Amino acid sequence: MNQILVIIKYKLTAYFRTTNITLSEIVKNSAGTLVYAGFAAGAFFFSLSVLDFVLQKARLGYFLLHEFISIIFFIFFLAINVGNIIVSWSTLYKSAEVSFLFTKPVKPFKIFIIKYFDNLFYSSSTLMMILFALFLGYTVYFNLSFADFILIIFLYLIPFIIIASSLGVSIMIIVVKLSALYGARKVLIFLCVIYLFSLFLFFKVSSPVLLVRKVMEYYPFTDQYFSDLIPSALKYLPNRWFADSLYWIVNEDYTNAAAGSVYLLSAAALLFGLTIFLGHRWYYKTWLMNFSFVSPKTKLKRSLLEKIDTVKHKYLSIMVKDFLLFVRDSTQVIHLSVFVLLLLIFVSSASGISISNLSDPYMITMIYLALQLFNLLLITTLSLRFVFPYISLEGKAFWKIRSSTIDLSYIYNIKLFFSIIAMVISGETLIYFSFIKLAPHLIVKNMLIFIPGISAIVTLNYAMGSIFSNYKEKNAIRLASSRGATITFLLCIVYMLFMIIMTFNPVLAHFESILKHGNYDHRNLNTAYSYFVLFSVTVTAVFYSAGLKAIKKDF
Amino acid sequence: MLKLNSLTKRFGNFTAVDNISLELNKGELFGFLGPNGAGKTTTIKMITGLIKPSAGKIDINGFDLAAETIEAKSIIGYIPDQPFIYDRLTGKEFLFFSGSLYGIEKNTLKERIDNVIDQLKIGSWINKNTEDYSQGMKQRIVIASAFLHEPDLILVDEPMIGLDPQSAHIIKNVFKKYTDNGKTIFMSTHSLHVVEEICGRVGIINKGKMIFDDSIAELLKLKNEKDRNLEELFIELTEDEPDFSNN
Repeated sequence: MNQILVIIKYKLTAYFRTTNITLSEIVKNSAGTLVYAGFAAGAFFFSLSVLDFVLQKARLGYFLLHEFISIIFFIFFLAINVGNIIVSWSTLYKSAEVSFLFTKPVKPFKIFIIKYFDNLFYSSSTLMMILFALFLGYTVYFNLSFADFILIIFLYLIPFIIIASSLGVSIMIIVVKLSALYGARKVLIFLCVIYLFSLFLFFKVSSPVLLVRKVMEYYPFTDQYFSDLIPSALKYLPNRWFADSLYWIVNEDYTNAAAGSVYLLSAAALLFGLTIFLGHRWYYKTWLMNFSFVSPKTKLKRSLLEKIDTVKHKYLSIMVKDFLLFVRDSTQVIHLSVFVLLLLIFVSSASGISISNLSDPYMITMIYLALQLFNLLLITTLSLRFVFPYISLEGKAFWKIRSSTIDLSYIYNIKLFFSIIAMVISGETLIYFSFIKLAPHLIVKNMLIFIPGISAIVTLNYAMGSIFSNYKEKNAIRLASSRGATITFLLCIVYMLFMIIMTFNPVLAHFESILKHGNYDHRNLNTAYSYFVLFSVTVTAVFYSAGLKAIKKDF
Repeated sequence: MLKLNSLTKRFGNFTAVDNISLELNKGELFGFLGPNGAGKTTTIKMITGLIKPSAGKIDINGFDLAAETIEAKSIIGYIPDQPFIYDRLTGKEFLFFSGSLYGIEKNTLKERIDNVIDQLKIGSWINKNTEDYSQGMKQRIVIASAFLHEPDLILVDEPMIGLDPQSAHIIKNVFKKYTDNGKTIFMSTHSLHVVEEICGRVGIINKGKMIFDDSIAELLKLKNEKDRNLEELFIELTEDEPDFSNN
């Protein structure tokens, strides 16, 4: 125990120590603090207005509200779980710190415990911060006490996160263990199939549109608990225990609320225990295996750099080099595969969403904007993970390019250009399938406005990656979980909020005019989207310049 | 070939390089000595364009580094003190990548790569991933990459770190041969015997200031006059900070 505390103490000392207090550091820290504070305030007010919208304007009632919260919790659960699976590969198996600690007389089990919490912190800290601010809004909206807020955090939220993360780390240990026996590819495919099947089952069993229709049959008594409408299979999921408990807390039924907490705490203890058990038995053994998830068939690609016409395509060699480094990094390949999978799931689910049966313009507007937001959020997540670390991943070997005859501005531009192209293709695919049934008459408009929108998000991530560049860190996941990345994520959220603020009323008016008069009035919508495009172009320009300036700083 | 004019670099209140002036001619092998933290690497990084000077001017064969950066860089080769290279490339890929940064024609590049592989005797492991290389192997790959575009000026920062005696011997010969062909080498090092063996001119920097700049013969003369060996003389010069510079 003493050793664990000593290691944690020095990790914290190193994390919080400031060495050079320069003006740029002060500016960065102040800007960071401002963004954090602004974001927390934004999330707080956002949760207040969403709750007000659902309960006062859409009048959906407490039950449906908590059903939606349950679905959101399910998505959060998956995000934490997948995040922990992926991050644990680098923190538990690929970290230089682990290699260092294994050379010291520290028991592998202790190293595992330290890295487990390291993993939890890296993969879930931003999400936890968002949830804190949202729960504060929730507490204030329902006039709950501060003690209730604290209870929600400690008796519900933290066990909920521990369940998701423990499951993630356990899955990774089992995957590594089984990969040694059956081959990494087979195990990963099997894992993906299981994951997809579970997701398919969840969305098959829970149909929000059907639920809304059934509950609204009882209007205005929509606050009561409709136990019969909840599929029994879903009653055993942690997101359900959590959301149900919130429902009971709001209704001051603390007995039922306590039951949810007992379930969550028991499941958290059980899964944490299982993870510790697996770590104790297999961590060191699996660490020693030290195999790669990427197939060694890279020999064909190795001639790529030799094939380039170096006179005509001097800059192409940098892109080829980036490509080779990417496909030879197992962490990057796994992470990209998971994201592609998530995108496919999203595309297949979103393409089925239709609003033809709905008659409430508020509801339609909410679904429409939620889908837009979700698309941008996916692009943000992809950008944060793959674009933000792009400059830093040049690493200390960047001296070779920096001291060569290559113009740094040109490198900055081509890297950004290819990032934008990749993200625009992904984003446009998402947009197309999201709106194919939802609002087919707005597909072209959405596809057009999302080009500057996606460019703004990608440029923001890329530029912030340049401003917060860390050439010492080789691990892309750690870079994407750094302080700079968190600030970038929050800035993206702020950007998305601006989009909602700018377009909410025109979108609502547009759907109202369709429902009331059958009239497709595009004028207000066009004006709002023009402002959004202008705003996006401004964001792109500002961050582009800041990033370009940053890449040229002393190496 | 290389003119440094009142070159200064400040990091906040700390002056790492303080008003250095220097002029190197073609064919010179200049040994740049100094204790740890004296400002050697900072000076070299300024000449390679990796960091910007706080004041002063760098002129490389008539090109002002600040104004004609690309032209100046095209005639520089740089060998850093730490041989950081892209882990997941093979040595050969790294050489192709390095050559392509200077726009060398494909066939010429292939020829030159074969040539440096031969000269530096690195052929047996050139097709392995660089992450499996030892420090010395990486160092030799980095040295090879600096010669590909046949630069007029090579800047070397601690070239002998991690090299076995055979490799060090090969590198010293390559450097000597290169300067014999009229090219210039600016070499920062701690190895006094390497300076004594191959350099024609020596500069000593201490606490950012140039305290000695003369031929190796003059340094050896000073050593004999003071009845010291080279190591003792170096310690004496850098401890007491007397100004022996002839500039």
